[in-house]
Amino acid sequence: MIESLGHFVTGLGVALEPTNLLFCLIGVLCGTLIGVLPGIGPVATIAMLLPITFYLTPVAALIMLAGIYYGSQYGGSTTSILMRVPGESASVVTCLDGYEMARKGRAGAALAIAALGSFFAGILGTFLNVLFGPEFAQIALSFGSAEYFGLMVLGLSVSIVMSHGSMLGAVGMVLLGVVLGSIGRDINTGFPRLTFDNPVLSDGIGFVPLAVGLFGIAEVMRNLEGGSGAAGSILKVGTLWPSREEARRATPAVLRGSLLGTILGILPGGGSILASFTAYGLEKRLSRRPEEFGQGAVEGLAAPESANNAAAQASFIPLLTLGIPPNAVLALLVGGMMIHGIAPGPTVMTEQPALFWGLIASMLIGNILLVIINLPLVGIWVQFLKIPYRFMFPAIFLFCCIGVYGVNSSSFEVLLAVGFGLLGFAMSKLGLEAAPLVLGFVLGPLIEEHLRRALTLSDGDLSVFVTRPLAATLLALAVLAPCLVLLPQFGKRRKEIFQEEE
Amino acid sequence: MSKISTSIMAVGIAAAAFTFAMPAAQADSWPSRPIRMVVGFGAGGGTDIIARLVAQPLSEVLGQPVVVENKPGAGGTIGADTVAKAAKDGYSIFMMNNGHAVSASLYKSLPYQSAKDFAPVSLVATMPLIITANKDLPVADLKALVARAKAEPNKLRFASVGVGSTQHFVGAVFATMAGVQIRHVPYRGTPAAIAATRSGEVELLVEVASPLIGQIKGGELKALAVSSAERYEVLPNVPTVAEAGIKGFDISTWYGLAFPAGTPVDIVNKMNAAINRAVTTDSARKQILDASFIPASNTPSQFAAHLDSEITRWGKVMQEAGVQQQ
Repeated sequence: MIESLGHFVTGLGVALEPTNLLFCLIGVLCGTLIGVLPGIGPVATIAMLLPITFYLTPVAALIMLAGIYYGSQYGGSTTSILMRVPGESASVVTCLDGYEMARKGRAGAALAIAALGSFFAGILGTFLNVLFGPEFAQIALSFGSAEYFGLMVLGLSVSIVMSHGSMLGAVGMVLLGVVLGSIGRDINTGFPRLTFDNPVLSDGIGFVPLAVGLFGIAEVMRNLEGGSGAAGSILKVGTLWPSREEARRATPAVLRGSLLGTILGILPGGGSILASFTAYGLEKRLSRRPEEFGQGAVEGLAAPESANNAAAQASFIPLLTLGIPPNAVLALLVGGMMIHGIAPGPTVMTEQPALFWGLIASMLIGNILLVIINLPLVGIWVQFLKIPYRFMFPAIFLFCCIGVYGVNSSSFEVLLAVGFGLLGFAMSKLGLEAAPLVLGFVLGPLIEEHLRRALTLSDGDLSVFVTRPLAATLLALAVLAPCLVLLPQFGKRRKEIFQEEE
Repeated sequence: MSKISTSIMAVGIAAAAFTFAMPAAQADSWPSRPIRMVVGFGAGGGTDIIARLVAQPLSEVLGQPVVVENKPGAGGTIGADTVAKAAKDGYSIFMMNNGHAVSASLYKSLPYQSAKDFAPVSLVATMPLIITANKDLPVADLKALVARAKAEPNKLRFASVGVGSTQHFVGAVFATMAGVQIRHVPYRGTPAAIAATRSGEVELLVEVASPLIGQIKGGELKALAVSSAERYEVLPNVPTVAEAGIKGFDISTWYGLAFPAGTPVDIVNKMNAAINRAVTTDSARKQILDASFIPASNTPSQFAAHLDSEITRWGKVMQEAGVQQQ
């Protein structure tokens, strides 16, 4: 451990070289901007910049590309809070309480908490990387298909606990999400499902049109329906900084969110989305005021925002220590390393210590730069709220459409987003929530995939889910979570909450 | 402009003579605006990376930007369809890969004809696949693997990136030609398949070379054989499948560029010359090699013949492997 700290100091020297510092700044600046623009995510940006990095040193190139990735996690919260448009997939949960805070005149506070929470998570994630990187990486390898199945089922069951409406409604929305998620080619047989022989559906429905439609576009419709809303601004500006009370409530949430994010971020596949959803569920479970969730609870913003940034930070561990990128963005970084003749694998840490530790140290510096960039921006972003809504809503709508089109250059997906906007509007009329649907959409296909693979591997023997201790524990927890809600005491409280809302 | 004229001269008189015989109004000024290079897969995959590595030097040779446009979906067929139906003016080009030949037989119906709707320009790169094993699997080489698989049929499992992928078929062709039975387990994406093979969830992995190199050099995965006829220069110690006694085994993934059919022949020839020049510059060659592709180039007619033979070959493979059309 002491040795690691020594290496880290060496790495800091590398990261502080003027060129590397400059490219770190360029990276995080780019990241913040693309995080704010929906649709233009880190994947597209890094892919476009990849050939250019050939002219940089490998260290500078990777520092910049990494900065774009974790920088985008900061930027992603801005539109979620101000317009209820998730800038990128991990910030869907931020829409729930972040936007509600903004509606109550706490937009500035919400943006500041998001930035500070991300900052803290980034710093904590970096240090956990330094101290326990290789040990954590082994967790990723100990997760087989049976364990993933257990984890995803747990995630889904936590999501039902998370909703604040009726349990039946939440289950219904999860199932609708699962059905939507199962559209497309089945991974085990290659056969298309629910595609109606239409090739545009053969790869399934994209996450971005779904999320932007259900949240962003539906919100525009809801606001326009209000009549009075169309005349002026929906949101009040309010004071810019978090109050002492808000800071006090946010701190433990940030800490828990960061830890959860770090652990889930290590696992390949869906780490950061799962991290933000479970962090939210956990906070609601622990809170003494669960009724405030969905109404602008500070914890409901702070925890998922920290979790997704910590997950972004942690996802570098399996890449650098195992050579296994846990998500699409990091798979691109593999491309970036290959172009420079570095084959990502278990030997990078020992053969390229300057690169390995320089990159890790740059994340510390990058996070400091990000908070310096983002805090003053809060003042600028909230100015947008002063624009009358009749000018804002066409802009938001256009913003949504461009963002959706930008992902796959597909006009069909824009129509899809509008369709989901209508669905989201109808759901809000019926008192149904979008968040369980999104989670079912993300987790449903993963649950199926891992269940079927675990059974293929065991040759159909169901006992794998009981005999493997980790899988058994996760599944037991998944059964336990809804049971707790059904216990009389909790049940009563849920009912009270529900009535309060009526 | 001077770059373009030299590049044309560099190709040789044959192409020039051909150009003179054409009504060259359109071709003379080509390219006068940016060219889009359509990739049928998302940003960051192998096809996207080679497209971007080629697009940059190609822009310099042509004096016009070559812009990579990702049109992912339906196994690359949506991107292919975009180019098949694009204007035949030399401003839309398709980064074709091995999957284009596979999809010709894999799908019941395609909105285009895989060979007839394209005007092949040139191959740009190839890459072999590698059959690898979990490091603790007690087989030293491919021969030992075949012996083990024969001793316990249907016990060994191999991971691939999905049903109907080239990786899946290479595993299937190997099993057929070696006369063994091994089970296929599809994963979503290369990282998941590598992780499963390293942790021992499956014994074997068939994957294209680039993501495996670090794992093999780090001793985490055992390379048993490369799929091409010749050894792979990045891993010269790994024997070929054919060397292990499975005669005639020769499969590589390939990447090449094609215009829509009907693009003027002189534009095709100009582009071919530009590609040949672009991928042979020292810096581009080094980039392509470092990204573990093997740079390649040929003439439009050679590439067309290659495409035809690949479409026939994969059709046969699918029939033999008993893969149903989708």
